[in-house]
Amino acid sequence: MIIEDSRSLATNIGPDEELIYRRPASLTTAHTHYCPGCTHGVAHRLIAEVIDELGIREKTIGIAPVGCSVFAYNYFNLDFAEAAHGRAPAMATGIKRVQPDKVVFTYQGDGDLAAIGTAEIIHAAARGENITVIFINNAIYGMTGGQMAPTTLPNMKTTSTPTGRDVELAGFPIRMAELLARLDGAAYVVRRSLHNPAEIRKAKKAIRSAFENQMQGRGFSLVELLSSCPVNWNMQPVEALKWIETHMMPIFPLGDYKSL
Amino acid sequence: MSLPEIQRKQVAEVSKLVSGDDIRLRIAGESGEGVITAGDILLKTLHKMRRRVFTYETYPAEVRGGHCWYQVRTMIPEVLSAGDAIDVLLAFNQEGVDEHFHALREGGFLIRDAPTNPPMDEAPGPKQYFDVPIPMGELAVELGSPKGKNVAALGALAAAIGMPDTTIEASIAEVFARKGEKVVEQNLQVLRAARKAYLEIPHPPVPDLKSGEPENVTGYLMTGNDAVVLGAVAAGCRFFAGYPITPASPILEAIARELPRVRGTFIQAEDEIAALGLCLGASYSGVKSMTATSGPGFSLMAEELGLATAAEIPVVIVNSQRAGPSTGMPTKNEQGDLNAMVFSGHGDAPRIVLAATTPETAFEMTVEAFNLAEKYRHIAILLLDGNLGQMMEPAELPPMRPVDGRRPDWALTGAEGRPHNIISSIYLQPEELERVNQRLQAKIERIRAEEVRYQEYMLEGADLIVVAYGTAGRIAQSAIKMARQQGISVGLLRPISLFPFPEDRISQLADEARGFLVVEMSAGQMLEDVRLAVAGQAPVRFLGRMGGMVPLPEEILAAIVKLDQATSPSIVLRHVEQVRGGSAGGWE
Repeated sequence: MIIEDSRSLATNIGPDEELIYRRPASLTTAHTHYCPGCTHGVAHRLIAEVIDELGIREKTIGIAPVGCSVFAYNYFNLDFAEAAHGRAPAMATGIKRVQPDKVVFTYQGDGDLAAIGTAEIIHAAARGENITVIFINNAIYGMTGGQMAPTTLPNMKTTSTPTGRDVELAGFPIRMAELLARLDGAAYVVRRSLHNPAEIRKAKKAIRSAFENQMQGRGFSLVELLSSCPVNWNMQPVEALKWIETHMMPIFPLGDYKSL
Repeated sequence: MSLPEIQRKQVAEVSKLVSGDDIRLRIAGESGEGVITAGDILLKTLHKMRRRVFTYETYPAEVRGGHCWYQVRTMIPEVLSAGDAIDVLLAFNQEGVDEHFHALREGGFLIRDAPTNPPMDEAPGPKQYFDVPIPMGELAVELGSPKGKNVAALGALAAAIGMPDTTIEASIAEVFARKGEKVVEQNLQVLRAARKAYLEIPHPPVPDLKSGEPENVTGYLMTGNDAVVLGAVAAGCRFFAGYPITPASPILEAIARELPRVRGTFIQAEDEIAALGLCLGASYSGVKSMTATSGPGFSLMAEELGLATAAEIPVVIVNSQRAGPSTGMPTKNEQGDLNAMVFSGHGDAPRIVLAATTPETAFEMTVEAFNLAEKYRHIAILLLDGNLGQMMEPAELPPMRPVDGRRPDWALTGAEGRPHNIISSIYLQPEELERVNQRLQAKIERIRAEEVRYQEYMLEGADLIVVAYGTAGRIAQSAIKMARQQGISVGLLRPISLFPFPEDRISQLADEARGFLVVEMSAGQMLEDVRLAVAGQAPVRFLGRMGGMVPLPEEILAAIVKLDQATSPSIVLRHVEQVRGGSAGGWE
């Protein structure tokens, strides 16, 4: 079911024109605050398209993280709440347990999910909570100004690792998908990337599976999305997308780590 | 068996005292010897006899082993404190004898397991007591019930204080019923054998322990923790998440059993951060939620207190206070968390804090906490302490009403046929955020104006005012009774809401009162509230115990007497005269 409003493109179609692209009903008309070249917008759109296609907009509840995507609730035309930093999986669990007929998802960045909220995501997965998690991994802290993330690559320069991440002192990147897939409670854990159209299509498919799993009661589903942060990586947008492929994918291989 | 002359002499005195209305009993032994079970059987029996009780139990923080004891005071009228010297000590082992003998009053009963020795240390002076060695363990083993030492002790006790046989036997049958008839029968045999063993030794005349009138004790026998759980369920709580922490764990365990019966949800969280996060998720959905914790766990929740305050999400938190700071003494109680309850967390917004005093008020205040949390979309905290949580007493419950299960319109239930709901605390324009904060402050002001709760006791026209809450408040009430008997004009103000604090009432009392005494089981936190309300109109004195020490009624009485003397009008007069006479003067 698609709800159109007066500002929608749909109203301006000429007689010999065909509508091939429009704003999903699950997105609001708000302009996002994301930087040029950031892939958050792509991820938002994929989620919104999937929710539209599954016809679940009116029963989906989202939880926003603390981080760049903290304002996700302004961009999704869904019931949405803010979480305390890292606690989104706990809050989503609370919502889902008392409203099992609703579709509940969290949208979390790498600081939110893999650092401050490590306990919450691990235990939500271990309990096999029937929720969907979209995990944006861009290997850096965006909102706070480009500091090291738990997923920052070895030797990668950030504002808190000015000479590059020294694994001797600052540890190694955490591969959350691999880690969570080892838990018996997790039903579906995959890693995809948003660096080119082909991968974006695969990402959308995975997001769809993650939502369908929940609707079918299969349990905890997580899609990790390798994403770009041109501003904090200090790169041009296109260069940043290439960097995902050349630098991130060797450390964070794409694939299905668990699929029941 | 013949008693030494000196003990024989004791017999008559002892018997006279024990037949009195007020009996203080203490059961002491090794953790695992059934001390708590014995206490529970005793309570059930006293409850059946319509006698009032006050209990105090202490157990080791270790998982196994360690010394534990359970004190029961029983009277026919209301009991306000655990009392000081004990009349009967039931000791299951040598440590039980040695550790507690000092508390036994002159002429009291020492009922001990036969292999133990009489107390070694009788300092400061020899104390006369009635020594009752009963082979409790041996009797139990002989009768095929090796764990029955506690029941044997109760048999001797029942005979000594004149508890009706049928009543205690009924309690035993109840407590062991779920273990099967055979176990019940074995325990009854142990009980009877021990009773016989007591009656066979020379003993004082067995008194007839009086029962109260049926109306003396009504209601259900329950602990403070049970009352919280029942109150929560009655108030419509359908979601609980928590992390086990002493002394709040019994709430978690009980609600894990109760919630599924009302189709509620229980989740044991990975830590207290997740526990409150889970609760907020349920609250986001418009479902009433609660968590229960103790000091260190509460500290972990501080982050989300800010979120719940700013996003205006109702939630109830029970804090069963332990002695602290930090890990402190988990099994002992203190009132050191008050400031943390009202103020912890970032941002400007004190929380609603209610304190219970008895299991009955724990029930009422739990319901009240849910109502206030919902009414104001704010956090409501119920303040307990370990002692109140474990204290078992009859509680009269109000008539139950059906729960309104409707979800509030701000809840996240899916944007079906309405614009999407957003729950957030983020505002990026200073003017906007200031307006939000002003709105929150206006709400706090409304709470201050409309939700103050307190109880007064003998306050009308009192010269001296004692201010105390929770367990300290209850003990203070017993001290006030004693002070009134001495002719001191003193009353008690017991705040029920610690925030909002009854500042107007105290300020009003300060116009007339000669002095205030604040009693807390802390270094003085509510003391500041009282000082602010009194605003220098009268002297404010303080009595505080910490580290798990509970103030005794006698201690509070002494502080009242001192305050009375220091503020007595005759002294004021003398002071004035001395000043007039040119001397330096001064307060006594």
